[in-house]
Amino acid sequence: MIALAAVLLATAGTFAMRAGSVRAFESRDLPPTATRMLRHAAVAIMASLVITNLPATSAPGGVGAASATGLVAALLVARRTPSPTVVMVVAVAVYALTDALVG
Amino acid sequence: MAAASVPGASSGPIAAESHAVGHGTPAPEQVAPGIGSTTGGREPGTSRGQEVPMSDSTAGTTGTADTTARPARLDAHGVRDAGALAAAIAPLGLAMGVALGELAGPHLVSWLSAPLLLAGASQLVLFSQLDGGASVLAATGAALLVNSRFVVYGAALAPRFAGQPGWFRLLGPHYIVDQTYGLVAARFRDDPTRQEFRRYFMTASTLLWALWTASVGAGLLIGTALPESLPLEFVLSAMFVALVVPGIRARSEAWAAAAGVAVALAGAGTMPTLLGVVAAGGAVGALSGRARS
Repeated sequence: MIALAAVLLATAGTFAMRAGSVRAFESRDLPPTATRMLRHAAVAIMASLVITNLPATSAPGGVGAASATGLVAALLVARRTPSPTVVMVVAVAVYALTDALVG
Repeated sequence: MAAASVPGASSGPIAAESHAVGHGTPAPEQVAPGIGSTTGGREPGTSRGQEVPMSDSTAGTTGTADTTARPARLDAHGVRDAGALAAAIAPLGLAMGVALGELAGPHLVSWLSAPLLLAGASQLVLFSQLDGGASVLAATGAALLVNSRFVVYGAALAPRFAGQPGWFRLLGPHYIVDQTYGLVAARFRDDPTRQEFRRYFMTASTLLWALWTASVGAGLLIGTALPESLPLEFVLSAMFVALVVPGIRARSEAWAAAAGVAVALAGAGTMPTLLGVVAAGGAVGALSGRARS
């Protein structure tokens, strides 16, 4: 029951955040500066998720060789093709290969 | 499996393939015609089942609300984009299910968190906190902190929800996650109609929601039978690269992405880091406007 209560509470809170922000801004013509700030903040958040989801390394804030190689491969492929499947397959393959070689 | 070792520990569950439509030549520094646009989008007027084109000037946020549309038809682009992300979502969901299965809580409740919360990171944080003996309020608070970034996505997507049918305005926000936001950002380069946005958003996000729910459930059932040699720990980062890079249309957006990466490298995935990322991205947006003017 405790776990269920926590899930339901978190669900309600998360929905309130999602729907609340939509409701708060859907009918408002925001100033161009605010619009730009929102759009760029969202891009920054998504880009930061690339880093925060990297496999942990021994050095805090560090990026392992396999991760770095995989990221470079992902960036190069993503610039050339819009297909996320291709990007992910190539990047993960490069990551796994580098990890196997370098350790 | 330790919570920290689970891939996708700091992200939402699901994400995107950009289409040919979404990859036209971008107009540098134009106010985003899709996300963040202050216009609500065009919507074909509907009159007794017959669609009548509605001019842009009358279909903005103050345009006539579309209350007659039906949610039944699937969007081909949405199906294709969601399918392209299945390669990442399914294994991540499996891994998430395995991880949740090793933490406190009945499996049924752990599984329920997938369709209800629809946010992998917060699911993991919630059950990790409970497993560590935290109270319901403390665990919920931690999960909500992780999900606070959805406020930014919701605000950026808000103009697209204006004038939409009630069912969509009620249900749609539930699907706002990193991946659906990234999908929409990459997909809509020009100003879509309300119907186009609605059908695409609901198709893609519902498919991803179903896939996430099913794969987390499978992970709970399979348990530790999932081979540990699979390099799942890198899939999510690769997926976000695939989402972010095609969506970058202007130099200022590239700077915003770089700022987000820099702040994330300097921090440790904490709340101050998230605020720093938002502040850095917002500052780049404000500065780009000044430079233009």
